[in-house]
Amino acid sequence: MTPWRSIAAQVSGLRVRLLLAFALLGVTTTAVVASGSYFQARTVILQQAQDAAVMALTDQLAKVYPVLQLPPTQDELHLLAQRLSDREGYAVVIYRDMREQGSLTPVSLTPELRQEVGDGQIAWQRVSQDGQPTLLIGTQLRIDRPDGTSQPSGLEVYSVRNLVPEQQSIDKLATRAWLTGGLSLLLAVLLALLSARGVLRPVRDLGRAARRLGEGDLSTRLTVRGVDELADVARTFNDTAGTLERQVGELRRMESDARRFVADVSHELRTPLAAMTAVTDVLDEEADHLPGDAGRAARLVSQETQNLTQLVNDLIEISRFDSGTARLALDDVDVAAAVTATLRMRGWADRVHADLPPAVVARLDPRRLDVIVANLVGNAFRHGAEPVSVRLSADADWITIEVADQGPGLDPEVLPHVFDRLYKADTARTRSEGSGLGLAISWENARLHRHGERQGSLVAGNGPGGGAVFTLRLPRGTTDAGGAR
Amino acid sequence: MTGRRTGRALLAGGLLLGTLLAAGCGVRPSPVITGRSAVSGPAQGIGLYLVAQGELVLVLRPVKPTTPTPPSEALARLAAGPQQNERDQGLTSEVPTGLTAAIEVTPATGRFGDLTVRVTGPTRALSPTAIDQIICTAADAAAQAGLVGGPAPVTIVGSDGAQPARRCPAR
Amino acid sequence: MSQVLLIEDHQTVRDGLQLALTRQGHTVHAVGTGEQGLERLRTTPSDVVVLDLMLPGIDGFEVCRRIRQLGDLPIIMLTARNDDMDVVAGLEAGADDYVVKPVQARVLEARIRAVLRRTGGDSRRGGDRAGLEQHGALTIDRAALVVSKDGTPVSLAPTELRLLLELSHTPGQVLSRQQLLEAVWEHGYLGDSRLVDACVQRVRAKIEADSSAPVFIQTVRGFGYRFGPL
Repeated sequence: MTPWRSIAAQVSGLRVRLLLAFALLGVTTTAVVASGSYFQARTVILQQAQDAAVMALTDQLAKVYPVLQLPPTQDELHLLAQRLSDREGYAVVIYRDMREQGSLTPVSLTPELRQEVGDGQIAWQRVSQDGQPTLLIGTQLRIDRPDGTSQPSGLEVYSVRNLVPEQQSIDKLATRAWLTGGLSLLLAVLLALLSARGVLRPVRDLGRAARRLGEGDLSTRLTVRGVDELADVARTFNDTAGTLERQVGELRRMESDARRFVADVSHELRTPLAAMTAVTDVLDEEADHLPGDAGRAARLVSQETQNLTQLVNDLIEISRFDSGTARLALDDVDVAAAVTATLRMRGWADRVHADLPPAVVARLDPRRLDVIVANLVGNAFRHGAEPVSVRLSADADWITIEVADQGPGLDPEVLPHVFDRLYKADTARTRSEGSGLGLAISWENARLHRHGERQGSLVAGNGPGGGAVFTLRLPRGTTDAGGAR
Repeated sequence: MTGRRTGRALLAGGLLLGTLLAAGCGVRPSPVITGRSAVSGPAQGIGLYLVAQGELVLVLRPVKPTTPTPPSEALARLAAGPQQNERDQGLTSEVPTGLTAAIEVTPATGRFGDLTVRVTGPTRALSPTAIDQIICTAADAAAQAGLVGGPAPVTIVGSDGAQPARRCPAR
Repeated sequence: MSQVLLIEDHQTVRDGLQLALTRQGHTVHAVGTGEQGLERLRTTPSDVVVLDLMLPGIDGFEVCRRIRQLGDLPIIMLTARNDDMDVVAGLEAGADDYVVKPVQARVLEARIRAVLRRTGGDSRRGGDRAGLEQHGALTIDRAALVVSKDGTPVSLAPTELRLLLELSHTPGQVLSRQQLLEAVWEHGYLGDSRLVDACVQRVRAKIEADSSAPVFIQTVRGFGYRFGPL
């Protein structure tokens, strides 16, 4: 999988989707709630501030009365403006073309406000004055006439009040809203992670169990938790694994039964063979003295008894590997000397081109090495063509023995089967050429040698020159004298 | 499919958030909000009605509070015309200078009587604004003096007869 | 020729081996159980015992141990092919050599001759050196084939004696298991090195003061065994 596809898989993965959904839900809810309460609070704060300011102004205006003179003098107007100004704000007093204000800050009154004030209403408006939120409250001063009416005096009072403290309160509210939003987002993500874990853990367990099952651990089962869909899947998985285990167990039992049968038969054959083998020498000696057919028959019986013995011995050897009872008899062996002895004992020393560097000492089972080498060389003579060569090489961890011939090589169709039991590449081959188990036994013998992670191997192939090449690799310091499997 | 759904949900959430943000933070300018009527309070001094841009405007002439002012005094001051400071504010009067007027109270049963203002000269020479000035100032002064209890109709009588009784049209 | 006692419970195998060995010139007494074999040994001397390990009644291992208690009579085990546990147990019980069934008569015959040579001294290696050798507390008389420790003769089976003689012939020199197999057991090639190990254990038990810390026959890991240095 490419990195991008893996990232894409991550993004569209269940975890991320859950995370997004939770985060979205959290953020949306928080945004709605927080902004709703924010706006409401803002309105309340502003309304209260405005109402309070209007009330304060009205109260202060009561002190202006009685009006002594209209039109007022500039001084009176100024005095009035000063009296109506305080810490909270300052006043602008207007009489027709005259204007006084309680502060040096220039202030502009909006025409629409003046219009409403001119119409006899107390009116207010929030404006932005020099970048600061400002509340403008305006009212006329009316005068009670003795006849019970009320006349406009022409005086207009505007209170200019800074809303910065309210702005600050509202800003604090906003900050709090953002903070709440952030916290709830965090909470949502946390919850999402938790619930993703809750959902994903069974999924992960399932994946792991499936992998173990695929790797051959048929006893793998899942713990079924709860009654949800995932638990159903887990149950189904367990049922499937159980069925599989039963069936595979059945198959294995049948196979091991079959193998045990072969082993038992071989053992049973051994006693009569032991008796027959004991007297083959007698037959061989007497055959020369027996007339005609009797002599030939005696030789035939002797020969086939030996072949049968070989076959039964090989079968017993194989069944030993199958049952895991094969044991290594390890010794420190001079490999070159051992191979030379193998060749010499079988009379092949002169026919084989041996390249055996001296002083390669390896810890291995010399009898099994002999079996392997004898088998490979014997095979090369039987199926390949001379010259047959045996080459030994070694490094710190391995020894390698290559047995090559100059024959036609192995058919690619045969290659995967050369180590199969009783596999006959050449259907015309006669039985007398061997039990058909030689290479299988050699292969098992090679694999029996083991040192930690290193396990011996026997590989068949064709050399660049055409002939068959069998390569035996054994760990140099076999320590494991354990079972074949 | 799920991805598209998620995308759509994200878009909706984003839009909502955007709208809320656009609604703004802090204190935003507002339109004019109107409350109750403007405050009203007592005054001292003689009330006269002058004219500015064709409308009646109340001015107050300061007096010593201890001395009660007869209603005719107010009419006399009105006939004398606006003072300098009043003229500075663009106040004028259409009442002819030197007009003399006297106020009579006609008693009526169960209520305050009607007011009659007698002026020298013909009433037809007076502009409607001048008549309104006289009616309002007279009614104001009469009420101040305690001659009438409320906005009373005023009849102006001149050498050429009487105008129909009217009330002060000013607010 | 030699007197061979064959203890084998299978009638046909017994008959076959008896027939073949007799033709080789041995006098073969064949019995079917361990009890019969032991009884036979009490009455009639034998030169070598060919012993099947799988016997009814007392098994081959027990027979082997009892024969060893009686003396140094050479024992060749008949064992199932590579029954490793059997081989080890048989060697520990005191067997000198083993052959795997089914066995051809001439193979068994060769082993019998090899064992007998160890006893009889037909081709006694190192016998040319006359007189007594003294190796610490150990006295080896190559002529009389007697080994004594602190003056007391040590009872060694023929194979054990041959092994000790072989090793002590070249003190301080390491001999590999294969070399020892060829020299003592006359196995042409690739003999079972466990023969050597088991025999060394038995010899050590008899001559060493402490078998776990041997002085005379020392193991050279990765190579083989060495006599001394003392």
